Amino acid sequence: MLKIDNITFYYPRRKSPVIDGFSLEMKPGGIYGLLGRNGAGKSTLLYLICGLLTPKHGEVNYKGVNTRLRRTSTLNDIFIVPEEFTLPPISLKSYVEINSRFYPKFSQKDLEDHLAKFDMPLDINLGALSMGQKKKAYMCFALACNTSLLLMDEPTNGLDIPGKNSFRSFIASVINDERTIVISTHQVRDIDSILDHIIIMDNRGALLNESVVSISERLLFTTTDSREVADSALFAMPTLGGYSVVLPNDGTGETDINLEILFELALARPEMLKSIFKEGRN
Amino acid sequence: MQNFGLTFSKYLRENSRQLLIKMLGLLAVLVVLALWIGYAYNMDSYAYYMKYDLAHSTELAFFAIILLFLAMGGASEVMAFMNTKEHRISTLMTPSTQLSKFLSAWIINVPVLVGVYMAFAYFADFVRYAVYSSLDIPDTYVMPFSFKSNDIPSEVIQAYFMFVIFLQSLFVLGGTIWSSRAYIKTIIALVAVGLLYSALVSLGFNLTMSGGHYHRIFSDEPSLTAMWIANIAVSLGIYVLAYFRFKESEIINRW
Repeated sequence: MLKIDNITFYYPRRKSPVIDGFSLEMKPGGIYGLLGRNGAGKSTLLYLICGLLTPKHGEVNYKGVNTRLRRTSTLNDIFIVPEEFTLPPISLKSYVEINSRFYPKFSQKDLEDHLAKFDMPLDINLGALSMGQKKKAYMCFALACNTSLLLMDEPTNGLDIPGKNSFRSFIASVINDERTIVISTHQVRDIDSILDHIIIMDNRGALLNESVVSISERLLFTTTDSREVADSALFAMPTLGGYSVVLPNDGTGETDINLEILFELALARPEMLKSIFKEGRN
Repeated sequence: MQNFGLTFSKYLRENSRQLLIKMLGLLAVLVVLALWIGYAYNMDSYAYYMKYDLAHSTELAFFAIILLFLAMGGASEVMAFMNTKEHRISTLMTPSTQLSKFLSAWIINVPVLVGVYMAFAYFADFVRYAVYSSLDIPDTYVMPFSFKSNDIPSEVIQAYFMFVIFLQSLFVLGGTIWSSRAYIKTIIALVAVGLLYSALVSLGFNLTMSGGHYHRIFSDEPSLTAMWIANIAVSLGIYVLAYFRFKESEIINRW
């Protein structure tokens, strides 16, 4: 569905590329978590996917169409919720009335259901809302547009604790086989329970691009107070009372993924991680 | 066409409050100005004997200058929806053609703005006429403004509007080049280009001088129609350049 083909991108007046020879394919259906260090190019990648930036080399194709062409038929099937955005000083009702007509799959019922989850009414003035409230309203609208591809850049920034809980549940409730949601975030704990697929990137490319099922089949995430276990682990991180460790899964069972330690492992030992998943496929 | 209608409606409704405030402000300024000019000139008995409303020429001068600045300002506002990264994301991700987005902003800020201004100017003048004719001031002559009664040659009016159209196209282009403070930057650029042009023309004139005689560079005066065609063609060319620059926009400014 989405094919990123060997893209390289430079910001103006910078000698080194932010993204260099990056390739990725995303199939329809599922929630992708896009993780990476600051400056790894996560937001840049989202903008490249939408056609908001032009790669120096390579191209991004969505359903076979280059997104840089910004065709109406592509734009009405992709929605991006950026980290920072502005909304006009009009009522939410007016905003929905004006903008929903651009999205053929928009559902008023879905919008009302999503707003109810965030405990927000429809007759509010967008200009009078706090940033967190605007974010909730905007995300409700984004989801109600029912686009096949939804991109979210740091969606939980600015949300209160109940808001984050609501976010997890309502994202999980809207996913289906035809819809793909890509969430770029540093706040891994806000989304780790809802992801189907994890992409960890740096500017060289995807260090990890695997489904949660695949990761759970190959890796075990656990804690130990044994120094010997920690030393023999694929990766170990000191915690209160011991170590959080990543061990190869020898078939004894599966554990929940600890995204934080997985992220550190991918940055520290990318080649080893790639070989684990390559071996698994073979 | 439907897509253009949706985009135009979106632009109008999302900017309705600030457009309304601008229009009301403009109307207020014009009415106050017309009344002030009336106070300065319609109390004078000289006009009574000349059978000529002395306020007209001053009104015309002020209104023409205001229109010029307003036209430049309005044209600079065409690209206001691209002046921040957040606005760029919102604009570029709206599911409509780039042409619809460009035209929606252009229509409101260029021809509609000039049309509304003309209507407001006539209204402000009418208010002046209504106020000062109702005051029953002895030995004064107050009439509503009209181009015909003021014997203004149509060539002058047409030349003025040709200039306004051309200037607006340059300011729209400036808006696509500079995302912030486009108005000031375009003025500076035009002054710089104008000075350079004057220097080159002056040099050109000097080079053509021989034996104290001046060789005419230009042939006979072109007809007004030809001037209009040339004006429209050049302005359209500038608009096309501005549109293609907008069409290729990203959320960052590369050049």
